[in-house]
Amino acid sequence: MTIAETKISGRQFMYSIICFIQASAILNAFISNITYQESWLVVIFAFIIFIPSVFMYGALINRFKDKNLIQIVIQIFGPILGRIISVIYLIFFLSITMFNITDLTDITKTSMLPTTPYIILVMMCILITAWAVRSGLRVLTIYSKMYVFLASFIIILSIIFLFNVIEIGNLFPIFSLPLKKYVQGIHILNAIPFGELVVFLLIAPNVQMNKKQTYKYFFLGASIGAFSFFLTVLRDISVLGETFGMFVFPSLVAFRLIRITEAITRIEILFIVILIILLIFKISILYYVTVITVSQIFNLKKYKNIVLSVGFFLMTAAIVLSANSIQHTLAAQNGAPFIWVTLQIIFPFILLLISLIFNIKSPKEESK
Amino acid sequence: MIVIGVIYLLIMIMDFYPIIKHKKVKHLIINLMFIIPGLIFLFLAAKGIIVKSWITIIWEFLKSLGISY
Repeated sequence: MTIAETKISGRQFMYSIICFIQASAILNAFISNITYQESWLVVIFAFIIFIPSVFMYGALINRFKDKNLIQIVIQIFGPILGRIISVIYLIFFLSITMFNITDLTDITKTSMLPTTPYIILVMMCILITAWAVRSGLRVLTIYSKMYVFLASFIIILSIIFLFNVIEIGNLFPIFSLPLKKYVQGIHILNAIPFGELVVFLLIAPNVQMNKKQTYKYFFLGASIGAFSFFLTVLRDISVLGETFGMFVFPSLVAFRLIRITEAITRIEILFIVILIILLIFKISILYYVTVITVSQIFNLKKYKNIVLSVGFFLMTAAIVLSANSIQHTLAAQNGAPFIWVTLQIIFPFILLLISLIFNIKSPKEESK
Repeated sequence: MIVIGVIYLLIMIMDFYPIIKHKKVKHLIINLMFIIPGLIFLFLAAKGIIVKSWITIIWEFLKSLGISY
């Protein structure tokens, strides 16, 4: 049984995945001061390494067609151990939601509303996303297609406008860093943003798609998302050169360099607006997944009554636990990949392996 | 800030009304599970105290084990 009864189409699911990765494009600062001008290469390698995980997620969705990740965990490990593991997942979802709220409020504060208190921005973010979450998955994902086209349009437009400052030479030399740096960069990108796609395992039971479409939409979504991430990194490096690793938000700095004519400058507001839209979308998905996890752990039939209290916790935790984007970047570069990848890739792989060895399927699949 | 806080509180009360009306104890306990830590965090935020997040604590632990970049 799925808590949310609304169903979305496969295409909406795919566009949501693209949007989710595009929202993380701003977070390229995670690798910018590790792999510098070679970050574009790291994005390619990271995605190639991540491809088997995409198919693993697809296999898990197809094997447990009407169950989400938490239900799969409880079915395989039993009600007690399953719930303990689910609580770990809950902490993970709460943490990434919290970090993304911090990122959103940080960028809003630094670029648009510098004098607005931090708590107001967090509160507004929670109110808007809570509204979206309470409206259900269909409402949450309905505009994902529009956001994808809007974000892609802005990326292409920015490349055209920045053409006069783009230096292809900034992308080279390649393979000049120690091997450890590439490993770290790939590890980080496999955790954030690619590994974060694990959240879609909680949405998958509410998507209308057959077995083939599951692989197709998941792979296409991840590939297109990764491509736009790659384009963003490529643009930022070719524009900023060696200084790429010096900024918390390199894309924002790149946008500030756009000068169409003497009169039309400072059009970074376009970028900030689309970024806020994408981050709100990402936070809504993460928030929704967190609420669904809580409902699943406690066997609730409806999730709407707990949305605001979870939001209240997220709001206060975002203020107290994750101080700013710099702290977020430091945690993401050093500690998080080790913990994240375990929950995002290793653990789902163990689930799939156990279900294959002991032939565990959802009841619907078994009756076929 | 006060206006937004009051709006949030009002929506939360509206959300709580059906829970209390239909005596959904489980829902109430789950709500309190998030609201009480939230209030503690709010108190800490008001005092200007920044708490180390669990990721930082685990990162430091992993670093002490030699698992770090």
